[in-house]
Amino acid sequence: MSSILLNVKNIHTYYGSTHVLHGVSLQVKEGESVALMGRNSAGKTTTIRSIISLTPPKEGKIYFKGKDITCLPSHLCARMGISLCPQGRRIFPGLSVIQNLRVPVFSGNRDKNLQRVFKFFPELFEKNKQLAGTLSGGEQQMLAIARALIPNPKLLLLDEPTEGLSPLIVKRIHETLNEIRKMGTTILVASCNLIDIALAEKVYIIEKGKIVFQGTAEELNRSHDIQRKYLGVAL
Amino acid sequence: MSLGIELILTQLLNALCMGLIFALIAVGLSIIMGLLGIVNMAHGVFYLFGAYFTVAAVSWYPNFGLGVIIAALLCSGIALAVFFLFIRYLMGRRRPLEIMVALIGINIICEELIRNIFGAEPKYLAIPSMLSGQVTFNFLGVTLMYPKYYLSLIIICGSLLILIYYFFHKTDLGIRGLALIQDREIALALGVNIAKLGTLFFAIGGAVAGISGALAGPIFSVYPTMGIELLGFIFVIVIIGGVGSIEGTFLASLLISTIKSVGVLFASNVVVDAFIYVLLCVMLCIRPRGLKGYLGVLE
Amino acid sequence: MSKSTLLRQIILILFFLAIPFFGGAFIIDTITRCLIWGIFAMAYVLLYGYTGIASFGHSVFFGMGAYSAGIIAVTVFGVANPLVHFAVAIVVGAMLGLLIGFFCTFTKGIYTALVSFAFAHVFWLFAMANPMGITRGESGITGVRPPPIYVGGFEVNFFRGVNFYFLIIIILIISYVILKTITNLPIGDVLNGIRENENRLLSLGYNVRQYKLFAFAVSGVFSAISGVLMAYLDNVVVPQFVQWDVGATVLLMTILGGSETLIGPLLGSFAVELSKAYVTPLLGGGNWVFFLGSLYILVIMLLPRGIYGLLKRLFPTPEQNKV
Repeated sequence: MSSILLNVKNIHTYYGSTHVLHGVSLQVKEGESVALMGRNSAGKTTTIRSIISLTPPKEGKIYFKGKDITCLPSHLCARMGISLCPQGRRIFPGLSVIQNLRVPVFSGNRDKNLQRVFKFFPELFEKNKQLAGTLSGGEQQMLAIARALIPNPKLLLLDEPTEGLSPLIVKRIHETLNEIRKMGTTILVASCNLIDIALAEKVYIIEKGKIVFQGTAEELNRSHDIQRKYLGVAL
Repeated sequence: MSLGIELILTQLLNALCMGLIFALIAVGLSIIMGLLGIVNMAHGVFYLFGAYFTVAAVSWYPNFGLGVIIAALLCSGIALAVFFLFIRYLMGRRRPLEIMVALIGINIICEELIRNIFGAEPKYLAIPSMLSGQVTFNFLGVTLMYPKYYLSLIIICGSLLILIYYFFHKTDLGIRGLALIQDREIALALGVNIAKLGTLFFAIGGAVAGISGALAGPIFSVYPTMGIELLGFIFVIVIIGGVGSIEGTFLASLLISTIKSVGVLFASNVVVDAFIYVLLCVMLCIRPRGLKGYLGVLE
Repeated sequence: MSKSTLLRQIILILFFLAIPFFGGAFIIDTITRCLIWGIFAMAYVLLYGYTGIASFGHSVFFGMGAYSAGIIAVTVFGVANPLVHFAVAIVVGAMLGLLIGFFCTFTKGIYTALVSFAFAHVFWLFAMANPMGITRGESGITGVRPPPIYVGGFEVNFFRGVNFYFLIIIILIISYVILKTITNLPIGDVLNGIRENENRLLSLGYNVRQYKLFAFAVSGVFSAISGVLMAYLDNVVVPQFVQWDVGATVLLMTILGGSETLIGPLLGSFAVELSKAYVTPLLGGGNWVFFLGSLYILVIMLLPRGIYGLLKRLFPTPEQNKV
């Protein structure tokens, strides 16, 4: 029985005075991969941002490896082993590919991790001196994932990793993420794309800032009603 | 005709020299503006103190080089003091314009301190004897006589700028600084410590501005308002070049210094200055991020 | 407006009306100065405190208002009629407000401060350059004040001394009423909204740019009026009127007094000008600069909500206690 790595307990997050998350709770066990599904503006990104303290919650608690990280500054969350692949890629446009990969702060063998990441994404190696802002959408997404993998994180947060990408690249990304799952990295994926359910064992569905479904991926796959109700489409 | 070319070449070299001095001051301001989002109105203080510390050091022990080094160290110390006493506290707790006001206060006090200690009349800072006199060299068939000191300034300032460029583009610390400037949130989420880097860059910016004040002392003369007078142009340079971009700052510095050197041949100082500010306004309309700036840096 | 507030305001006005009977020329001149800066600061806080626009070049409205009076009165047209001066200043203030405001709508935060500063600096250079002799450069334009008129055999000048003092009180009250009304109308709520959450307003379909331009124009008008008044008080217009110092001073006054209300900046202008008048002789000339610099720093560090904010904390009104 593996331990709980990330425990989000009843968090309420606000943007200014707007109440966005209403008592969101979720748990991710070590080695597990969890998907947080929901429509646009359901609160997925806000949840991810709350975990890594970019928009810390006003109420509730977040525990990582048993420690309270609710108000811990973002860079310390990262150094504890949480790594973020943000929505919209958000690579550093004025830096080259390799410079982007040098940004994450961690203690460990950078060269070994670089090699690993280039094995997953050889095209990044080919273009390693190119300015990240000039890469294609798919390449930027690969760079964003690669950058998040560099610190060899305990918990990988991915926000909309397949948004706006061609099916071929989505397949590549899924393959890479499944490899990483096999290597034992814990993953939390936020997505509105039903395809991403394939990455997960457990699924939460969030709507209007509240968790409305919690179950295994098979359960969700079986129930077209739930899919249609909360995600608007059915696989 | 060769007289005309000689004049133009001399003016261009002057522009290069002045531009590099401006660039050294501007780069510290640009990085801090991009990193922390604050307009350091006290940046002129480092330039000012650099010149005056050198004056004091040289009167104590007449070695210009040593004086410049002492001034640089003292300026980075002052920069750290300003950072720890004021900026660390105010960041995030006050609006950016309010922080600007506090820094104006620091500027006012420092200027008056200098006036009290050294007097209001300009001070004379001698060119080191080793670097006085002219150098004769041939360029494209034209024989040019150019002051040794200006030439050495070009070399020293140019080298410093290249060093700074390499620091920001080749070292982990520098790359993380650029990352913070281009997308602060994500850099933070990747573990970058903005407080540590902010401190370091603020100190470097202060030291470098101090060095340029010291080096420019013999040419521009040393007087209490030399910092605040220059600050306006430095802001223009930072914005036209692009906040947070070293290459942009360098290009903009050359542009402004060239306009100033060439412009005064055709129009009065005031008209040239006005033209530069109008240029700033135009730039802000058509390309607010500047020549080489990044989108969304100053929000 | 509650009865107690109205009562307080009337007492305040009576207090100011009574001052000339107790004080000499120096006090009257000093308080006149405080009041003029007060009008300028109220105009400024509409943009800074209510709309949340960080203008750092506000000296341009103040200074160009003064210069339009100078140009009309002396250098170009020789028209001494103060009504003409005010009318032109109002137009100039509004036009400059729209112009600079237009460029500032493309900028956010600190960029706005720098853009407005750049514009102010250009006009300062313009004033120094003395194109076609209309600004008289560094020495400035003298003799701006309207000449005295003859009322029933007596020579009366409404723009000097005690008469000017009373006139300014009237102008201040009128300005305050107009500005306060604007903040109380729905348009004031929109301006507050722009400060709090501009994106929200945009998504709700408001033409935010128009509202910002409106705020700029109004602010420009009243700043220009105060510029004319200062030109009359000193009887001279110099480039210092357009220098960035003036913008920094009004910003200091606004923050020191309290940027959340119209009264705050008025308090701030009194605080700064009174200390300049009375603290300077105590400390000695050069030390006033240290005092001013420390004021800039201490206000930001310790009193970001200003004197008004402090007073509200110390003496909360009944409405606040209920909340």
